[in-house]
Amino acid sequence: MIARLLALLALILGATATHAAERIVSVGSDVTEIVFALGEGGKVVAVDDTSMYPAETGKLPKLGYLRQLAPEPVLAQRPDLLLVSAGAGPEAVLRQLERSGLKPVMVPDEASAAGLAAKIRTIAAALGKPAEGEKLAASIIARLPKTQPDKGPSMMLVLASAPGRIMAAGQGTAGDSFIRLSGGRNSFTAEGYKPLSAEAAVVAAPEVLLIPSHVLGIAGGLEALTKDPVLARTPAVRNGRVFVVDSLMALNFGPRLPEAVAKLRGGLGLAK
Amino acid sequence: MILSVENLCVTRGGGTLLDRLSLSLEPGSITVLAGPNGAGKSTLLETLAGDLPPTAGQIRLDGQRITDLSLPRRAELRTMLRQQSLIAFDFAVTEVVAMGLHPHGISADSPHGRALIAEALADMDLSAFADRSATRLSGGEGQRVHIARSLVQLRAGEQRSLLLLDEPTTGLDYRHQLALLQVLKAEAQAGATIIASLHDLPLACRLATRLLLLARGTLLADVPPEQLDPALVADVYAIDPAEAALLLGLGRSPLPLRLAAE
Amino acid sequence: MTAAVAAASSAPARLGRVGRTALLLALALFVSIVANLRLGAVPIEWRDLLALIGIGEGDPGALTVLTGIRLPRLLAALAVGATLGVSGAALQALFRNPLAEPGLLGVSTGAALGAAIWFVFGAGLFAGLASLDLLRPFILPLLSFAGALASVALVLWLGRSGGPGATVLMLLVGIGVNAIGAALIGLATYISTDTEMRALSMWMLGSFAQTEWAVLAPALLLIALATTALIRTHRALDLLALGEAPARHLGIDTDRLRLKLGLLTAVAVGAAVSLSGVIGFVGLVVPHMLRMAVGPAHRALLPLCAMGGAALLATADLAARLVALPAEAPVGVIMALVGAPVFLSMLIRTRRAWL
Repeated sequence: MIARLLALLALILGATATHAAERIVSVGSDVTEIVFALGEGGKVVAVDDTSMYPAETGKLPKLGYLRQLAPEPVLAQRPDLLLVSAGAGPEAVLRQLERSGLKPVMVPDEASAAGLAAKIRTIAAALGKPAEGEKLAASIIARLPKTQPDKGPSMMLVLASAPGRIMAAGQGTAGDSFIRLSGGRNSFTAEGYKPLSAEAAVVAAPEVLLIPSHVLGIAGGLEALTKDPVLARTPAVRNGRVFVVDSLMALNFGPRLPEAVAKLRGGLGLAK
Repeated sequence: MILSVENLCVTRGGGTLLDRLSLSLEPGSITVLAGPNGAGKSTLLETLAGDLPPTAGQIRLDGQRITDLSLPRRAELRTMLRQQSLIAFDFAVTEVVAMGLHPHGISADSPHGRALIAEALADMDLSAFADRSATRLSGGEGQRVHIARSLVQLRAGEQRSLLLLDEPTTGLDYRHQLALLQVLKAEAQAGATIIASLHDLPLACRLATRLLLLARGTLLADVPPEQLDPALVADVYAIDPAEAALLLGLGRSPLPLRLAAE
Repeated sequence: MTAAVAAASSAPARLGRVGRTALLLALALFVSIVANLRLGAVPIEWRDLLALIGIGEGDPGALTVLTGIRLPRLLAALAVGATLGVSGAALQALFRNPLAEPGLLGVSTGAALGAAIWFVFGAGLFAGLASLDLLRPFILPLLSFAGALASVALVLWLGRSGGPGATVLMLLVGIGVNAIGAALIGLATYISTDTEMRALSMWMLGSFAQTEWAVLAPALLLIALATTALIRTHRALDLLALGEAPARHLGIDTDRLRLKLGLLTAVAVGAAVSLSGVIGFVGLVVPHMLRMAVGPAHRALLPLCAMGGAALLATADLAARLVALPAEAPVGVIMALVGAPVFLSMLIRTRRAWL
């Protein structure tokens, strides 16, 4: 009797213990990149619209925008592991998926080096590859430069919601973290992403302007953006210190963050 | 239904619209309000209908104060036809006329309701228009629809009650003005208490059993139409006394009221 | 064809048209319901549908999706569609204008403001409540419902003059309250983070993907009660076509009616918006089309608007689930994409019929 109970217990424990996932749905560009970096990309059966790297994601079914998921498209992929960036939603849909027997693994998305390591650990644990996760996290942290942001150049990362409507990345944004990891000082001191006025730009006086690649399309090209009266008078534009950074690589805080940082520092002539 | 008005005053924004009016109207009477623009005819009708609370004085229907009656009860006891308003949606003529049944809880599909609607439509020469859209009629045809609706409301009551009409002949051609006069006389004979404002003096004289001449909220004459003084009319309307005499003369036709042969 | 035919037909013919239209809508409703249950990203077979109504056995996985996801979602689309159709027709009668819709009273703006409060300040304001798994699903729907009610209550209270011109005053007050609400939403988005702002704008697109039974059940109850009460005002709504004063002369207390219609629409549409987010055009297109088909008398029009709205929105949601496979499109966008051109073509056609 007791033996049978123990056997049953073992069976239950065995079932709940992580077994290697075979069909993964990955939501969030950073999450997807990490899954691929951990060598499990072949098991990904579907991703969200923001997952555009690596190139293999192009052939996968896209399940929609990560903040506007629907339950059925996810379930239709018959996943046995659902990895979801913490920024995804709506939360009611995640609850529905859970009730349908597919508990989403929530991946934290704090935009910092430590946050990136935490993401990797969460995903690696869900994939049953904790050792590989530690290795990847360590290698990424090691490749990030030791910087002293106080002495670095003053920078500003700008976005545009439409041509002529410029926003700047203030404190607490991924852009702010990227600037500091690259060894710069964020010259825009507001909280969050805020509209940038010509006066605020003059006061901020950034020496370096960073423009995420996706913004070029919205703003009508690099030339239009640098001619914008809001930005035209900044030292960065006058001195030609305007750098386009890959939006995903620099701002999703995925495994390619060290490359984005190194590329920018190369362009700025700073030590790698 | 006896309508009695004691010492009625209505003031709005410092101006006196009605000044100490007293009246008593008996069943079977047709009272016509006449007077120049701004005399207070519409204000008096709206106040009698219970729309405007009087500043002072009382209005009683068979002894009950009209402001004490609920809106549904008022709708059973008095019918009011305002100057014409537009109908918002594409209701058919029959449907608009049937709206007069609402206060009495009679269904438009019941034999009684259908008979009342058919009678009112016939009275206003609308039988051929019954299924036309009421929003696509001429001004005079539209007015006839509203008159028919009011006739239904008046006749659907247990007894003929109070009928208030504000410029009911607006837009009507001669034939339908006369038809309206005939119908109103018949309703008065059946026991209705009727009060109407009319801007056409000859017509007023032919319809009225009693004529009220109103100017600047004050009652200047309350007489049978044949006793109306041409000099007073000339004075009130600010017209030549000869014109006033002509107008009153037109209204004193010895002919009985009748329509041309069909 | 429509308007001219409507005018030239007799009452029995109109009754016949009501019957035919009702039959047609019932058929459309049935087809839409079956199609909604049968079609979608997750394959569902006929035998699963039969198992749902107790005949035979279906695939357990398919049944989980049917009962847990597809059925509540379908019910939400039907209920919201019915509500929007009936409320649209009722408010059009109140304002005597076929272009009136619940948004005029601030329902949508109020609901969106409630949602904005949740998305932007929710984590701080409702930290205690939100940490309770049992309550968390209700916070967003309750906030948007409360926003809708509060906004309509404000419009009704500020516009409470009564008497002649009261409806026009209410309309103007509605514009003002809407402007304040929009400004507050703007303020909330200004101080929001990127994530919060995107969550809000996604909510405002309107969708049934997030329908949960726990939220659906109380919303259905409110919608059923308020919509039934709206339908029961049909006689008074007819009389309003004459204007407010003539309606009063026929025994309608128009001040009370205005208040009643405002509150009932607020409850019904507030509950609907809390389920789906903002969905436009149903309340305009459905009453307009049905008025052309069966005439403006509300006894037939209101129930038909419920059927028509339900069928239209369920079909739109089916399209939203199918057009972008393997993903989904927002139903609010589908509704506007399809609804707006249909509406414009109807307007132009009716104009031609009048000329």
